[in-house]
Amino acid sequence: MATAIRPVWRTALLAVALALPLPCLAQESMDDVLMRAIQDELKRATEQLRTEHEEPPYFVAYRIDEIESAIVAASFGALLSRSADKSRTLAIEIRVGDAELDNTNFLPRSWRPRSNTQTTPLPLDADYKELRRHIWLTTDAAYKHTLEMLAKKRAALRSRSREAVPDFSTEERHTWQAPQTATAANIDIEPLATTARSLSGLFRTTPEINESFVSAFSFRRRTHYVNSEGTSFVRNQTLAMVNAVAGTQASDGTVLQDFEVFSARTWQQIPKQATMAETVRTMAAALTARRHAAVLERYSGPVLIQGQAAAELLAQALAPRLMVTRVPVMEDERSASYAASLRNPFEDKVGARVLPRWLSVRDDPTLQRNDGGELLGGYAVDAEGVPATATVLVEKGVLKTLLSSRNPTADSLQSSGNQRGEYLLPSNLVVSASEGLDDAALTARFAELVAERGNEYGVAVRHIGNARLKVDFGDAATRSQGGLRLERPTRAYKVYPDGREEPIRKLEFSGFAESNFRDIVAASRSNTNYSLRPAPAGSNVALRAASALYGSTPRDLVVSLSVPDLLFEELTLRKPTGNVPRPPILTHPFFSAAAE
Amino acid sequence: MLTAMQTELARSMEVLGQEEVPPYFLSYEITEQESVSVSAQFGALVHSDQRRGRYLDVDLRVGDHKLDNTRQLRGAQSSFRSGIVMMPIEDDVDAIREGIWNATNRRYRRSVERLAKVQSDVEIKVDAEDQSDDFSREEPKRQIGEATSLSVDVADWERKARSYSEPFAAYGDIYAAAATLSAVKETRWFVSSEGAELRTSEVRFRLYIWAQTKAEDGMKLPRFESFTAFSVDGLPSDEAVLETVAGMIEDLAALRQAPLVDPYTGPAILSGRASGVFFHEILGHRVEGHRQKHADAGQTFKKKINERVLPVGFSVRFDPTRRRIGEIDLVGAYDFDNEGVAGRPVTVIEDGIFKGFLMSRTPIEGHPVSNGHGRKEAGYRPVARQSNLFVDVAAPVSPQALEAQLLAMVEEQGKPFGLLFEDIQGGVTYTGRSMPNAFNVDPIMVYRIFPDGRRELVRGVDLIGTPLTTLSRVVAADSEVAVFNGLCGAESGRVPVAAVSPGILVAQIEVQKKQKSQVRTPLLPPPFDASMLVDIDLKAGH
Repeated sequence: MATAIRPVWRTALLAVALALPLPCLAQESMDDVLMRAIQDELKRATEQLRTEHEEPPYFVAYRIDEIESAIVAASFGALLSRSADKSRTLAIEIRVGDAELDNTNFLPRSWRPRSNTQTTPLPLDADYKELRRHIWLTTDAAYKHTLEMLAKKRAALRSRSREAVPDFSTEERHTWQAPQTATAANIDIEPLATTARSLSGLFRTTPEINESFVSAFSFRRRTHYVNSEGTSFVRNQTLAMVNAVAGTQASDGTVLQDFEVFSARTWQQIPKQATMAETVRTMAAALTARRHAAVLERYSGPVLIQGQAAAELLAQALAPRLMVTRVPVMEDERSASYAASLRNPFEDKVGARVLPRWLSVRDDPTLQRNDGGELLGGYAVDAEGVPATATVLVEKGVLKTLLSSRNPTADSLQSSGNQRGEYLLPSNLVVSASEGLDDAALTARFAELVAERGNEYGVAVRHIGNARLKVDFGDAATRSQGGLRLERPTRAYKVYPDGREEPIRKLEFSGFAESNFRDIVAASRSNTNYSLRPAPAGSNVALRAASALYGSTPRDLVVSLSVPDLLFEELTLRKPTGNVPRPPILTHPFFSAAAE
Repeated sequence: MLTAMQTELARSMEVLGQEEVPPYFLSYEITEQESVSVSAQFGALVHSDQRRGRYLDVDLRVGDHKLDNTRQLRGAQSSFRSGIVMMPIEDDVDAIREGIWNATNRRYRRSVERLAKVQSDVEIKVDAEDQSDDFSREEPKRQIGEATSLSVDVADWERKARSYSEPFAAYGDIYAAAATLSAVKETRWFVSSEGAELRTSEVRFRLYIWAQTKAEDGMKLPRFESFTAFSVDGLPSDEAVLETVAGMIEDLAALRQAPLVDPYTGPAILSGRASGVFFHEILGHRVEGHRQKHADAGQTFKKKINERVLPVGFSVRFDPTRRRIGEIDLVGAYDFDNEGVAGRPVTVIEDGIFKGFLMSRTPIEGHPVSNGHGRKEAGYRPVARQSNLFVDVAAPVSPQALEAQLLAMVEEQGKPFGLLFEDIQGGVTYTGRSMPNAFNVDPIMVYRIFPDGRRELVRGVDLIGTPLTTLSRVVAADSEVAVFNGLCGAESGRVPVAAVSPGILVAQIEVQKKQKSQVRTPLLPPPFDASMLVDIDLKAGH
């Protein structure tokens, strides 16, 4: 073992930032200063940037994100952290070569490609000259890196060939200017703190819940974008979210968890405190009930997936398949099989039936809301300046196309306008059932199927776990056996023919595959809307590919889903296997004190 | 806070004490960090931030003092990272107890599991060379230190950061320049099942200025200055800082013109600051006690007790009780270490003879108790770490006399020149067995001194060597004592340390070529054209 001692006598320069209101130069607005700085450097970069022997960039884009955020976390009625930040980040995308073959879609041996986008924090002051200095130096570094990547990629392709698909799509020039934000005031963090404190304090009345955690955040982002094709935009995005997570162990040690998410475009639109409290109490009650509920050994038969569970199931199992994945050229040929594994199998299913004939799916970033309520994944232009448009993904059960960015694949040569930050992601995924049933009819159909199978009961799943919203008990992975990786259901019930319901303590999906979606036999008429942060890499093929390049997604990046309840004719559920941590020996100090 | 910790401590010991594998020791340490940090680059603010957080560390030991769950598994990479456990930042006893409870449950589970692994490791592997216990017995301390407070005029700090970094903005060939002001108040509460109960509170202020240029061959040339103090008044005045900045700019300009040095061996002088870092690396990390225990560690000094390792008249000691030398605060000072043991002075080398090690509560053969050097960052397990290092010399000479000695050696060894290491940025050392037990010190300002006394700034070298050989070549020291305050990173995280040393003469050092960036200087000139000169007071610069 080498014990490397690295005295950090030097401290790295800190990156992210916060500031108080800043002085402005003359009358020029901050917007104008930023736009002028990137426009001016863009002109230099396109007209003058080149080395003696190498080619100049054929495409340059600058994006500045100004982010204001307030984040708090609380547990058991007390704040764990609170932070309010302001930051300004520059992202530069430089391409050399040409649209047919450029420096992108290439993974060097180092596995640290930084992609073709370089980011750097910018000064918070409205200081044109210093903005220019940062942009100039980052552009220089990005261009040199880009040249190196192109040279390596060309070298790798000397002995190999690849699909004749361009590296960059051609898109119309587009401009968009969002209105100046109405308020210049900072986000007020106090209401967030009050909410987090109060919601987490509810767990002082739930003696059987061991751990709980409430976080709340509010984000404002203003993005300025220009590229060398003449596209430019200024875009505003806001998001507020409250997460309440709870975990406990059953008497046999089984880890049980649940959560609730509340989201809205702004903090003001977040549900009222009392409403959230009611929902959290219900969640806590359901979690407590599960501690005493029976264990389901194994079940095969009709399963009704309702509400949040339907949306979460789609987000985990289907949504990742609805995006193209461009397999990069690997510098190290031995990694080629890994690269190939990144490929989305749905790329071969365009034109094939993936859902029942009466179900359709579209992605629609232009939607603000629908019958199910608010949809938060929308925007006017995507991160590459491509205007937002609706994309029909599945029509009458048949897969029509996949979502794409300006990084083309053989079947998607144009962008669908789904580049979001550094990721290709859906915006608002809307599932519509042409033969949706009302609640009573759906319940009846479910009962009918259960009877047909001769089962004693059917299983209704109403809530499914989320990889981001968990208490870490140091327990084994909570993934399903075989098939796709899915989080465990957190609220599931045995439903008997007489309508009686019994909670199930723990279960997981067994061997769930995309093909199961074809066997949906009925859906509800109304949809449930649900917004979530895309799951971390691992459970999502497209994200895994992207995260090799970019790391974790920003907190304010959400995908909304609008999904009806789904009745599956047959799914298999089973008791989770794996190690179960011992239940705690010490009793909860708060409740044991109260009992004394 | 202490009430909440004591209550959970007593309850945990009582309840877990009835288990089949009872804990024999339990301690809780809560670290509160309150910080203000302001940073500007080239005169523009990039960062201004205030934070507060509380973190819990649990040391729960099962087994007994002789053999417990913390023993290193042989052949295995051991981790001293225990994970950050966030505690409420509000003084809510119930919420704090809830947090401690959950962490204790988890830690108990893990400790019992680990003990089983340790026991089987001991059964299977050859007997350990070092048969010492896993945990020392210490007298528990009780002391509630005074509370400190942190008050910073943030607006004024933002002004300072802008103004300190602004002078660099006039130059198109300085590619990075930042001034960072930070203040950290760290309060620690510590309780243990042995009866310790402590609260300590400390505030540290720091000004850090960093700038970097690039030579035409792509070599990055950094220059930095750092000032540290326990009070805000201990930081230098604006005038003094701006004078320093002007000096840095001159140095950067000179570095760009400085010639490269080829690999070289020969005599050299290390200035006080350079020598401090040098001793920190080559000696300090090797006298950290726990390193003598692990079967894979280099154990350079383990069998050197009472042997000569430095010339007569040279002594090295560590003293966490010294808070100040002259006008300069020493950041490696503390009252109690992270295991609740009072920091105390330790003489490591006396008159050239090796005497002993820095000890945490992990004993080594012949050293059964701690001397108050068990240190860590929140979220890590403590190991023996350095505090304030002092190099004391019985018969210092004047700097002129030391230089004369250097030149005499240059002539004697038939070398064209000697080297003077004026300032260094930091260093790295390896203390394991799987790699050569070498050190590498990263100099910033190095001069060639020619036989006629002429000085020439050079660039492009790292000071390298192996510890025993290099120490044996130390021959003399001057009277110019200097201080290097810094943060030292190792397996138990980052801890503040200081090194105090005079300039020293080493009969033979070795320098190797510095790793160099292959990236050229920017292709385009700075984007400041003549029209901007009107708007912005751009000084005649590049």
